[in-house]
Amino acid sequence: MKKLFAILMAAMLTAVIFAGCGGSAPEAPAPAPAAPAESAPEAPAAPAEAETQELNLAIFEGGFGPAFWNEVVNTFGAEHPEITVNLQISPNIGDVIRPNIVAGNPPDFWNGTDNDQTGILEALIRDRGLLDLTDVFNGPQYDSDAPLRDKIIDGALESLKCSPYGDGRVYIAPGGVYPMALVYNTALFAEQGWDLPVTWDDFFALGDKAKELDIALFTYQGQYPGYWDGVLPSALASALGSDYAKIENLEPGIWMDPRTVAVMEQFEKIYTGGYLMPGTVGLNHTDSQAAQMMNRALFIPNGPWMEDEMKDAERAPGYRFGLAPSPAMSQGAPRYVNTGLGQFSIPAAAANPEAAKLFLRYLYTDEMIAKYAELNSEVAATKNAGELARPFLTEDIYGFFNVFSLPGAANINIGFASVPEGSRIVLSDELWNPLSDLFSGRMTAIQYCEHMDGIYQAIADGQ
Amino acid sequence: MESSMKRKSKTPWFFVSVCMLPALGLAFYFILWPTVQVLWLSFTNARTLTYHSADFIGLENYTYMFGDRRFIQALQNTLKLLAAAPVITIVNALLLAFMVTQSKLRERGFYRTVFFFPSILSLTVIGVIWSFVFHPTMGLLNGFLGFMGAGEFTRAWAAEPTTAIWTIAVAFIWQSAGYFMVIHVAAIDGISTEVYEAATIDGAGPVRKLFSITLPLIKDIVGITFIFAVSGILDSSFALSSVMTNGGPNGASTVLLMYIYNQGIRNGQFGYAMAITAFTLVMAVCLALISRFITSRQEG
Repeated sequence: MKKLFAILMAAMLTAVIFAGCGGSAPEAPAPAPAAPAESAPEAPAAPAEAETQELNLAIFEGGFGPAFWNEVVNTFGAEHPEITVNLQISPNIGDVIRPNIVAGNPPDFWNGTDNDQTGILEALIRDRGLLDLTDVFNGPQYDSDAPLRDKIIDGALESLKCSPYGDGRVYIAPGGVYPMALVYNTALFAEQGWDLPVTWDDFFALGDKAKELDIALFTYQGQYPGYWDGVLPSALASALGSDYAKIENLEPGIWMDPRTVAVMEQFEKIYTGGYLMPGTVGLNHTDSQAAQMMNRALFIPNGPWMEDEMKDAERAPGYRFGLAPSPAMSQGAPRYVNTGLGQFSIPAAAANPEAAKLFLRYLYTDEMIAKYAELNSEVAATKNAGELARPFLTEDIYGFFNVFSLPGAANINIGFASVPEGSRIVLSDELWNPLSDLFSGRMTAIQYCEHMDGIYQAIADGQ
Repeated sequence: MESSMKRKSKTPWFFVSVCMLPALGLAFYFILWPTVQVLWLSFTNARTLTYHSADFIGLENYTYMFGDRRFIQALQNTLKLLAAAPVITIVNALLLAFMVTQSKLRERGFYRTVFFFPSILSLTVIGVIWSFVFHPTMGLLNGFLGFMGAGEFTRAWAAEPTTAIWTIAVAFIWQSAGYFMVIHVAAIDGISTEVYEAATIDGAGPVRKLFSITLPLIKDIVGITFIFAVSGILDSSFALSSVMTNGGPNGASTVLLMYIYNQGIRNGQFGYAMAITAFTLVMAVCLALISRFITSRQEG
């Protein structure tokens, strides 16, 4: 009897432990059964609308918390009671949803960071895992019959960021816009009577003047050279003109173009000419930004989030944020500001893509654009967003969005073509990481160009 | 009588087997099965979205791996750490253990706690602390060098390719030496005091005691802690490198585990990442076997 009891106990223990190990992938929420017609005989709605649907949102939680997304979920839910909206929001949303995506059970709608570091967006693009949204933008707006495309800022939908295969089809909807270029202290410039540099020669001449005041011309987020996307591609676009597309399309040979090399030599000169703030390559983003705000360097590549990110940082008396475009090789050449685009997308395997598309259109209504600015402090990628957001932005940050009023300043939406399926090359690492060597004198401009040419060639060779 | 004797000597195999099942099941499900999956995936082109429909590509991941400049760089960095950090850690741990057990210091108990303290801190905290020590502009180390009149030696320690990887080694040694010290202290405490007394009567000094009594008697434990230190540096270097240098500059402090993460998670190349994982696993097992072989040969 005792023996039997012991066996039973052991068996139960085993069963309990294994019950927790059930390895089946999480299943997609089963579609709710349609409400039986007889349960609501008086309802005039069409049967399809009477169905309850689920819409699963996976949202990146930024510094402003979930207030905006809670608001959207509430108002959208009130307008569409047939849709149950489930909000999953986290600062690490990419890591949270990765297992679901791998298991083939992605969210219906997701919003990641602009420069998604989790690799989810990159993977979804490369493996054709995103839903084609072209019909959403060619179709009507949520609250009018005008095409949604007309409301979006020029150039965004055509950029490789939104149309990653370069075929004119939109797979990524633009979220917030972030003008990225050279952040500087407008108060210091006004005090010294300095003008913003137009050409690289002006840039270095300004650096010589700053040296006399013991201020370096330039610093950057040393350990995170990815911030260079705010300056380097813009400078290349200015010098290369229409050929700049070859840089984004990963075409071999373009890095050895004399115009490309000439731009890289300007960056090299920042180090060799003694214009880089000492210790820069060892600093992290907040340290380098704090140094710039203490007037230890004139310029740092950054975007409008810097004001909030550094709100508690010590700063030089009277410090004011300003944004300057990347210098150009010659007078009259365009000086670009890279407008980064946040992203909204719908996975191709989403369980409820139609509700996700409806939700996406809803996000572009004027009410939501205003809420986006009020609660998330972000400017949406629509033509009227600047004015709708105006009451909610500080004067300095409104100035960032006004940077295009500077003579010669032009907008560009930087985005690189996806590396082919199966490529093991991490393009962003190859692009940005060697800049640490360029800014320490361990690599010359031409060596950097040779390195990038080798990488583009390897990608073309299918590595 | 005979039957009761028989019953007593009989091992309850069935009951033992049933009791072992949960442990075996868990080990199989959480250790063995994932390892088999790692090996299988390393022969496929699995990516984030093709995890369930990956194609078998034979040894392609492995052949690419040995021609991949970034992999070679990460391997070299890891080998540098493996060559230096465990040895220095264990030597330090031994010296500290010997000091707190054999010295007549009144504050021995205090030192024992202080030396052990870093090992209860999170690696992230340790990474941040040492980032400030090696900080290029306001770091303690550069400040100290400047104060001592050796300003020409100041540098951005974590941002130069020649020193970045060693900043990680220093942080690891600081973090783990105290932990291994405690294990060594326990081993030293197990040695009979009579042996030391006899040695003292024979005129042996502290150094002689360390090399002639303590070390030979705790050699086995030292061998085991060395293996722990090897696996510890493989493991900890990822977290420390992420916090202190972000793998930079230009990959100069990227270690194997970080490269696995970059390829598997950021680049979505599960198959290739698993090939590097399999390689790292084999390397770690070989290192452990070599360490055991050396220790057991000395014992023989």
